[in-house]
Amino acid sequence: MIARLYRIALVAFPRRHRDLYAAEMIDTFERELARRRSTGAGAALAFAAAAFANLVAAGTIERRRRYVVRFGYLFSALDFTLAWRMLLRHPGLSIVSVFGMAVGIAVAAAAFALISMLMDPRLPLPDGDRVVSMLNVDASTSSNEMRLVRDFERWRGLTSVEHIGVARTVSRNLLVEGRSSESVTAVEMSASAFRVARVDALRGRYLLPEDEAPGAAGAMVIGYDEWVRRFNGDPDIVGRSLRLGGDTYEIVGVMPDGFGFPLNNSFWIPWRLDPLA
Amino acid sequence: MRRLTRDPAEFLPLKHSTYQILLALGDGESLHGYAVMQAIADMTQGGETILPGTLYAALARMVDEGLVEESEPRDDGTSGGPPRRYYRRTSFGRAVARAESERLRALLDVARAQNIFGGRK
Repeated sequence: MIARLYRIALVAFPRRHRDLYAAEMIDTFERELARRRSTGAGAALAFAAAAFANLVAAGTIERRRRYVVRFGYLFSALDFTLAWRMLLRHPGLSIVSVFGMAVGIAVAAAAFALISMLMDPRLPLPDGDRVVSMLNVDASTSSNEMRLVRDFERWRGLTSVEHIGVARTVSRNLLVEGRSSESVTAVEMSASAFRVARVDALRGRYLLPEDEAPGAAGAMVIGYDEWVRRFNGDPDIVGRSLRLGGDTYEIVGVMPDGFGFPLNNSFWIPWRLDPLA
Repeated sequence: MRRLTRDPAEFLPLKHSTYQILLALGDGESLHGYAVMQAIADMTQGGETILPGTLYAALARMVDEGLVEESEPRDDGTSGGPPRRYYRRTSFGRAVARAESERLRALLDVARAQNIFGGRK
């Protein structure tokens, strides 16, 4: 819980810094918190409070530094030095200020996110505003019609769309060597759907049409979080095998941090359902 | 080339966190962020700590300034956790640490002359 809050509070830092150091910062925070917990709950709580306040303060300074590097000074360094000294000299006021700013930033960010979502909805993908989902509705029952495989095969011939993909989620038991079996939700996705997303793999490759061919070796792409959590960020992850359900898959790629297409997914396997069957 | 032509005195007085990190890194093998944090606590017998926010912001800045450099990751026997960056002190970083140490020593000499420490040497 605390680590999750710490991860959220990392937004105080600029995105570039988060991309480079967020995982290590969270790991460092968790390790030190665990160490302090062993000496007492009070020590852990004091450390957590100090770390959160420090995160906001250091993040603000880092944002300022990045800004100055890119655009030059808007305020003098003295302004920040004096502000920093005031914060140190009056810790009570500092705590109130930090929490006040945190609440203010959170409310403002939520409001902007809501307005942005309502006024300009788009997926967080390159040309995300050009991605649409297609859904059939059964007019007789006014319910969604999910059996779209044959329609998908016909839609593939449309000339008014650039790429078209299809995906469905499946629940399977995942077995990685050296770890216990665990039920996960994977997504069977057509290779063309990766071309819709237009995001390159961080390591290896994403799924290709050849992977969908009957008899092709099982190929799997995994998400960044799973790569870090289950495989400790193994740099030689591509080529490793694991079992999903009753089948063996070879990991062919790792997608970058934050990629969850179509909806917060972390395991992708080829779409192999024959639409003409 | 920039590092060779810069004067260590330009960095004085050094930020406390920068000085802590430069001393923690020493001339030995490279360390990752959490190891730097532990080294600072160890070398001051727990008297001083550095928090992750300050630590990683400082490391990012010090890399930009050429005081430390990233080195190849190595297997340090620890398991779990994300991939880590390892840092080592550059020769320029060492020169800056020396300049700051001399500055502090000059102040310390004044304190000694005024018998600030009482009977202690």
